[in-house]
Amino acid sequence: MSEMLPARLARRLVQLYPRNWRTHYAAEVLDLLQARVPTWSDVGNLALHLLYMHLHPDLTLTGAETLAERLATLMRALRSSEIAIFGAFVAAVIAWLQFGGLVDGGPYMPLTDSAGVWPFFGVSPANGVSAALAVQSAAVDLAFLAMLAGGVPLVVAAWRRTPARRWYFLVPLAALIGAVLPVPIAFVLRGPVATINLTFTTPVTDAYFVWFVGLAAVSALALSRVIAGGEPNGKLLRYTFAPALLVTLALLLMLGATIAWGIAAHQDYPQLFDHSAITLGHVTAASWLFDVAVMAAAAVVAVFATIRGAAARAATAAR
Amino acid sequence: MALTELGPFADAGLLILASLAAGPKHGYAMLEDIEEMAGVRMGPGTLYTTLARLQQRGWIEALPAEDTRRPYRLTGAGTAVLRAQLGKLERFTASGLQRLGQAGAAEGGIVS
Repeated sequence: MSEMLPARLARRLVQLYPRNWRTHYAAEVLDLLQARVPTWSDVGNLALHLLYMHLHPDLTLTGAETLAERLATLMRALRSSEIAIFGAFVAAVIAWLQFGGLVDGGPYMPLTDSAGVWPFFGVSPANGVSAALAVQSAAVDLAFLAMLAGGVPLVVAAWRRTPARRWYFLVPLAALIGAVLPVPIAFVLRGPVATINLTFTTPVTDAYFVWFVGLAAVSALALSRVIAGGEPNGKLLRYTFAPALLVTLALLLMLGATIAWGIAAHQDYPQLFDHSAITLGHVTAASWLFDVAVMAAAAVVAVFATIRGAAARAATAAR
Repeated sequence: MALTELGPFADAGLLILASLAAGPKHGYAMLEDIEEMAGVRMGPGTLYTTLARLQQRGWIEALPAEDTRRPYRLTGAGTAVLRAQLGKLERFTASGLQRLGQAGAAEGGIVS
């Protein structure tokens, strides 16, 4: 059994290599794995090179392609990297909105105070919690601005270049209506929003959050599909890589600030932060950890995509 | 044109080029030959990543496949790169051995 596992894993890893590489080499490697029984060392070697291949899309080229084919392959890699960064951004923003839900509310006010923390305005940071929140807020603003700077030209180009896919734009529009509509419905059913207790979550608000995440995911998927359609525009993609890089840096900053906030909150306000309940909308170490985990996963994806995009961009410049 | 263009794959590239200097080989035969020639057990990921880079540079070329096994052979450019690299290594080895010999002689002189 233990002899078979490395062989199975090795074959599985080969299927995860980039498509262009598989087209040329997968059959040979699978044959090789039959001829020489793979060891755990071979599995590690295949896994390491799998990562390396995905980070360096130029390595998947064999030299047999025409110049146009090479450029198209590299541009598709650059485009998929930028789309991955967009996906990471959406996931991180959802985690941030969830985090905002955590720190909203009367009893938790000490954890939410970010007013007057900037030293250059003459006010020193009130405490670590405030400073972390201010940095987090600045990181989110930076990420939004960079996403607009890179995303809007890509979306406009997609609208122009792929008329057959324009109906995809209806998806985010419908999602927006779907996200807003529950508010007047709640107003009609339960009275003015002011009378609803926003401090604590209920099954209804939790369900709305899940609904909102679903809408955001579907919208992001639709926009990604429409941007991925048609032949990539090299000049535009090379430009939009700079804002994508900024988004990645902002996501890292957001992650760092959120971690710092949790540590400061645990030290300064343990009675509020170290709550035992594990629910979506309460300030607890568990729910904070959940947000940190989502932001960390988003940051890892963004960093990975940025390295891959930078390699593809550099390779197009070299050709 | 130098083997250092391969960056982290320069060592693996040298082993593969040296193996193919004896004639065309497919992947498995290359691994066996390299292990016998240099005592290095090369991983399959290293082999095919390096083969791709060598092909990209036109230093090796693929021959028609025999079933699923595709043999590779050195090109003229690959032969030139290998010859240049082995020449450098030969000079380096000679220089190193000469220095070792001088050091040994000096050490012997001190002891006696």
